Amino acid sequence: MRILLVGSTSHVASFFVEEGGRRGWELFGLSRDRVRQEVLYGRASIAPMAVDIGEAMALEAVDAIVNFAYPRNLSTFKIHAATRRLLGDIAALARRLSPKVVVQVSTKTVFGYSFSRNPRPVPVWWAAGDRYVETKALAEWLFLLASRRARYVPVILRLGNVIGPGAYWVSEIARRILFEEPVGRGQSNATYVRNVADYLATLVTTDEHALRRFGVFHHLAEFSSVSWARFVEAIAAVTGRLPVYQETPARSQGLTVRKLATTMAAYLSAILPTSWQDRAEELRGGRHRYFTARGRFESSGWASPPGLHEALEFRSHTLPGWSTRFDLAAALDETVAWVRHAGYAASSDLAEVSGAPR
Amino acid sequence: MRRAALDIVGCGAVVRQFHLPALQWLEEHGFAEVRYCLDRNPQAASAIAVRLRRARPLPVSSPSDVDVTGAAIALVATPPEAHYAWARHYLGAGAGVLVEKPAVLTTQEYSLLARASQATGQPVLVGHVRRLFPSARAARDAVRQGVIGAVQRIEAYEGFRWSWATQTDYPVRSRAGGVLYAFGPHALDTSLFICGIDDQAVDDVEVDVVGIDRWPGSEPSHHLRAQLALRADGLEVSVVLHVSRTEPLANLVRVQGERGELLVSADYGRTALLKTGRDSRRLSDGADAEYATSLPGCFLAEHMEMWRAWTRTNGGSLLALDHFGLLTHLLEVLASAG
Repeated sequence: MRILLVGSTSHVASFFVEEGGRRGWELFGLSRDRVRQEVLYGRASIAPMAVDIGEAMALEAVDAIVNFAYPRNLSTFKIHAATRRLLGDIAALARRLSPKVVVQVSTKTVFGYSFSRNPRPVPVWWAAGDRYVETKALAEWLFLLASRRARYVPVILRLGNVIGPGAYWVSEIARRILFEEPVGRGQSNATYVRNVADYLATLVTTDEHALRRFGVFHHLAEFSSVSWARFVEAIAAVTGRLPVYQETPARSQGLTVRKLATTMAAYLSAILPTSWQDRAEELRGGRHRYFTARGRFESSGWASPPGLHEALEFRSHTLPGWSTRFDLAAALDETVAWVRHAGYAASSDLAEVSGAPR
Repeated sequence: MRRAALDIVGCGAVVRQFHLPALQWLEEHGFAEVRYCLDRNPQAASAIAVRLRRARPLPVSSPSDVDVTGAAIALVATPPEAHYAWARHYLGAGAGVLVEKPAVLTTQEYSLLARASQATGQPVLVGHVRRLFPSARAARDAVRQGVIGAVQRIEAYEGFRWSWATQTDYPVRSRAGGVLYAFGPHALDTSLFICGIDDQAVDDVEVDVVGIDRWPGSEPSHHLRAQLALRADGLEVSVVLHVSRTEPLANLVRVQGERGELLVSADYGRTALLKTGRDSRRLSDGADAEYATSLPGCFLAEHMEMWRAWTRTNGGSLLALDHFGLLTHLLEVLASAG
């Protein structure tokens, strides 16, 4: 198997690289930044061959393209232009490299940070107000548009809350426990990063007809029904602190002028030509920085992330026949070991901080 | 009010993200006017200059390329190995200097710079912005007041999986491009500052590297764990430093004393957490944080400290170069250890 990974330095991608390497696949990593690739894969026994966009275009055919990348750390105006450029590059690569399948790695958050009903494997109506959600949802739409008459099988894999070593949700929960900040006990809607890698490997090796029959949208959250409390208690045991639970607070509703302006700006920025977006960004100049510095997207007003209080389940919708390779106990074991290693628990000396990091 | 003519040396990400809003504020309120934006890369210099009132971009690669006469303050935000040369250059031209962390790479450079500052009568401040975080100040007050008793152990963790874009290959080619100089100065300085041992003279402190584990084996490293023992008159502290740009870490400083433990986040925070026995409580800084009410506010506070030092209206800044001798020594020891 020859696989091109876009955004190969991302956290989830690094586990897929491990999985692909274990299976003896030939992996190419398209990354904007060679230095970053050198740092992040320098000590790994398996690393994708780093390529830039020109080198990727010159590759021989690949079996699959998997996109982990999404633009971030950009302003509202620039981020949509960057998303369009990224998805345009992927479409061009797909035309040139004739893959059998192209996977767009997405997130359950395209349905929002909290759900009004259980998410279903269907296209989402693009919502504005948060750059991460906007970017991921826009990427899905652009991917679907580019795939309309394509020969490859398009797959959108929406991930639940990723847990495992180094995952955001794990470090956020550990930090909250340590600093005695409140955590929720809602549905975790979690997926273990090694199961994500395994499912991706299954996707790229599955027969094209089977993939087409299944449909474009795949949802992966194999531990969706497990409460966050289960993870919180396991992590708290390592840190030696008692968790502070917060009951589900009332959600702030209502349309403010700022919310309306933000929504309008986001929609406009998505439809403006790229050159206009860049110009608009320049015209806004440094003032934009101040605006964002004051917390433009502080919308929830909750003491802990809404995702920790989710009452509804993001149920898995995966290929028939695929079963979870790592169970909850294995996922918790590795997660908790990482929590200890990362410094959330006091260490006694250097020797005790054993085991090489990933 | 005196308006300072300010030069920016090095127009990379730290200036774009953190200093620029503060400098725009200083210009708007009449404290300073940026004169030149100096950078090797003309585009980087222009990108900053267009966002300021009358600043002009100036592509330069070394101090000898430019006459800086007339500058009142220089913000030096180049890669660390160039800090010393640029700071000396501006001091020589009669300007005060605000230099990004780490101020310099060796104790020799540190001594020479301190002497140059004294000789010219111009202040040198170092951008250790976390000293201005209310959480760090609250923890320092608690240690000073003996709330946790004698400090026995410090653990400092700071790590992120690298996700930001690089403009050069400096992080993997330069001896000072590693995580030791990227995250180490903040993590170590916050630790020393909280424990009140930052001002110890280098000669008075015995530093013993108990163990060190880094990848790659020499600088620039991207993952480093070290254990140090610091001994001085009435002081014996074990220090664990764990910094990484290959994986996220807890991003905190933990100070353990005879009677309790303090936790301070590496992120901006208003409070530190004090744990004594089974009790815990949040400590806040009693002082009025004039500007330091947010991370961007702390950068503004840093520039105001510099402006006050230049106008001689503050008596002894927390960011003055004098406070960073031991830190420079520790970084130098760690860079060559193992």
